[in-house]
Amino acid sequence: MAEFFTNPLVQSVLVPVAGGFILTGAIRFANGRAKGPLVAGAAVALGFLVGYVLIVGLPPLTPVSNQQKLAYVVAGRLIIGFLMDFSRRPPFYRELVYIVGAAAALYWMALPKIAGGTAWTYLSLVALWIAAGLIGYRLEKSRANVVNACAPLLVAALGLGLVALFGRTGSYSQLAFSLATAFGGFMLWNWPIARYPFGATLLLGGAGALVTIAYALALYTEASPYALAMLLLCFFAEPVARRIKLPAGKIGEAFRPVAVGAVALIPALAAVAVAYLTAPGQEAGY
Amino acid sequence: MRTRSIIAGAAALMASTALIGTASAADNYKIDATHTNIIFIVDHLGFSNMIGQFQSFEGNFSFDGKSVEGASVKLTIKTASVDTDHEARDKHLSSPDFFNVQEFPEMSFTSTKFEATGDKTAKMTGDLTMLGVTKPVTLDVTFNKADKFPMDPNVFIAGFSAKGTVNRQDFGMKYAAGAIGDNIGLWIEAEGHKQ
Repeated sequence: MAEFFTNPLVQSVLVPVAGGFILTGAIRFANGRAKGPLVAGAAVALGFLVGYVLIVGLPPLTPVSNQQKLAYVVAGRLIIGFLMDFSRRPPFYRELVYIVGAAAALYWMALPKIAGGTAWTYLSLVALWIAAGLIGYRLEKSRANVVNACAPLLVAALGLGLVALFGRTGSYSQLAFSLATAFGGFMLWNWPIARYPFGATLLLGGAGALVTIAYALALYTEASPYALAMLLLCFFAEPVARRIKLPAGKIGEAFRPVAVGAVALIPALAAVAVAYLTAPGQEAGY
Repeated sequence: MRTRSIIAGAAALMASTALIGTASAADNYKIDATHTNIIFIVDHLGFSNMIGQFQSFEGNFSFDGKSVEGASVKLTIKTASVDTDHEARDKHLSSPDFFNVQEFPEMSFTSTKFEATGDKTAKMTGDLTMLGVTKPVTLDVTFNKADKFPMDPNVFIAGFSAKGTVNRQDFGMKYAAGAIGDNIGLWIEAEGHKQ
């Protein structure tokens, strides 16, 4: 049984997708008809954290590496997001917490770099924070339909996983796939009919997890920074997909997220191609 | 690797015991990197044992020439110098999956205790710090020889071998557990020049 859970496919796909799916239902029904739908998105970050424990293990109480800090950042954001959604805070608060939280997480993770940093280091950190803000901004713009907002996140997480893989960092690759599949598990409840809103739990927990993985890859791995930057374009898929003509009515509405995902796939594939072409050492099978 | 250095220090101490008269009290030795290898051996999916080493390190050891108990060893290794004779694998070993060299550019070993187990052997215990985690490690040290360098009588050299095992998961290196072995064999062949 223990061997089953050491299989990377089980850790990064099966468990997070099942976790995302089962937990969405469990959280929804545990919190009642009024508040359950608001906090159901917590399943994404929770499903990701279950995958995290299988891939990396339980982090120590005092994290020493960024990979260990990642779990605390995601858990912290998830709890804040859950509480905000549960208490029905206005959107301004989640946006504020998202952007401040993105800066705080970046500062914490970049501490070893900040100490002896150069002007280039600080510029890079500012660029990463702006990128995180841009993702938050785009998600807020497309949150009217939860799947339209989640589709670019799923595609970007898949792209991030492959970029990490070509950057020779298998564990972050698995973590990104785990996040993507947790999004997938949640989206199964929301397609073709969007049931739950894109609230603070999804913005802070789900999108926050993606941003934090990207931070770690940009700061401490050989993952291509150009590929990572290209993944940002995934979040501009929704306004582009809106121009695609789809049948009116429920069918068109159902296929809108598919169109968003398909458009997001274009920059994601381009990013993966860049990551592959700039990978440090192409030999496989060692 | 640090453990090995410690072992080397222990070996040097043993050597001092064996060579009273040639080495003076509390002599300090600087690790000679050109004649020192810090090697690790790890199980690869059960098929074979992969061998690697660290190319960049520095350290020193000291002993009083009478008993190993007073010996000490300190070793610092540049983690980015990991070398398995395969560029892509070395990149992977440098990543956060393994040595995480950008966050933890160095690993270190500082001896805490030496215990003689024979005329030329000892157990060396010390603190190994890797990936920001410090754990005690014990290595078996064998003193090989301490003498003047034949090509230059002004140089006094002590040499030793050290072997032991560390569990990588104890230091938080958990990637590919079950596929890549948890127990990493350490093998150090070291020489030090008396300062």
